[in-house]
Amino acid sequence: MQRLRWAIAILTIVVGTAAAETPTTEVVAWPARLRALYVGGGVSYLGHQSLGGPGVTGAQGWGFGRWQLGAETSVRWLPGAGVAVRAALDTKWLARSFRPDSSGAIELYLDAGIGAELIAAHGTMLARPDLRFGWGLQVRDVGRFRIRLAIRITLAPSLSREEAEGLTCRGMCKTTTSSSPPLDEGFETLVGIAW
Amino acid sequence: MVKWIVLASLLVASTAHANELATDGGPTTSLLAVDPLLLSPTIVDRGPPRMRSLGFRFGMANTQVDGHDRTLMTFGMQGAIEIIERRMRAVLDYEWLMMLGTDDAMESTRGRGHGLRAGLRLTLVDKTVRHDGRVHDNGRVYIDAESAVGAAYLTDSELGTTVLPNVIVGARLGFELYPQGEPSQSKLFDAHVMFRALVTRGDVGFVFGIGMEWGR
Repeated sequence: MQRLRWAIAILTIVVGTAAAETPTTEVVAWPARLRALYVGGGVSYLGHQSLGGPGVTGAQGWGFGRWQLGAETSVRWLPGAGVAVRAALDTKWLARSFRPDSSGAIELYLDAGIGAELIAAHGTMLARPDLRFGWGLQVRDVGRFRIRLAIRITLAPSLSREEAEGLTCRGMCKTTTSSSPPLDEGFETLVGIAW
Repeated sequence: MVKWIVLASLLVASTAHANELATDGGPTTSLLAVDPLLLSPTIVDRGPPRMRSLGFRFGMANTQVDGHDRTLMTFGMQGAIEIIERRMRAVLDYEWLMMLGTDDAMESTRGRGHGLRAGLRLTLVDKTVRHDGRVHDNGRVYIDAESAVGAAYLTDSELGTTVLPNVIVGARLGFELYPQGEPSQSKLFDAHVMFRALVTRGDVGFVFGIGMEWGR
């Protein structure tokens, strides 16, 4: 819980600082509707064990000025273990837009969302909610497509050692000397297109 | 919990207020401050605009945590504000860390953590770039020195939870682009690489990173 408070405070400071801007003549806004498709990979910690692998994510967003509300679904393959499926609602804020010339723009966005993940691995299945925050780079031209690179950090309630080891270990897990952390974290890097 | 809500509310209210005053007062730069008596944000006019930047970076680091070798992958966000135009900046950065153990091949993933750091960046060498005799600069290449202090909160499967105070000293090589004629919300785009020494308790490690920033 303490770490969650820190994460929220840091996110608030970053967003607050970014929001304190002088007005600009350029209108920076998300389009009314935007779809995205990503490929990428990530790691989720379950206690002191970890599971990771490549995945595919599809998303749909609706723009309201510099804010976008959206929904997404992802499927991740966990090599040698199983699969993970996640559904989420998220919001994106278009923080910065640099337009070098008339050909397009390079943009920075921040995002945060809530979701639930179903992990099926080593014959064990488990679902848990999570909170995700991150940021991304978006290159857009004057046409329809945008190219994206995104980083996401995930915070989820921690599992008991038995639950975590059931998902992550085949047979015996290597014993760790420290107690389980209060939150499980993870990260994901994605590349994709939006249109 | 209440203090965090108060802190967050104050920050959001302050920045919103800063926007309003900037709109009324035109394009002058404003420095946000909190009046200690009224506990309300005030705007102090500081003359020409200061560039404020926001961006992200990725990095790899090698260090020791309580005597154990660890390799870190870092994913960070960074913000900066100019103190002296194109010369000195104050920097604040947050990073999420993934730790890999290099002293035991049986279990490579060791843990994760969060880091927060504040410091200064000073331009050592730079050169503005202009094409075709244009009046405005197209960009700038630079080498900066940087130093910052901070701490990382780490959760390690072997060592448990630990706080690792650290100091970084390093160099940053990058280029800045400025918009050419088109209205652009950001007045600067920066891409850079960084090489840093990471000084921790009883160890000096190494950091390599790449990053991008947008300036206003």
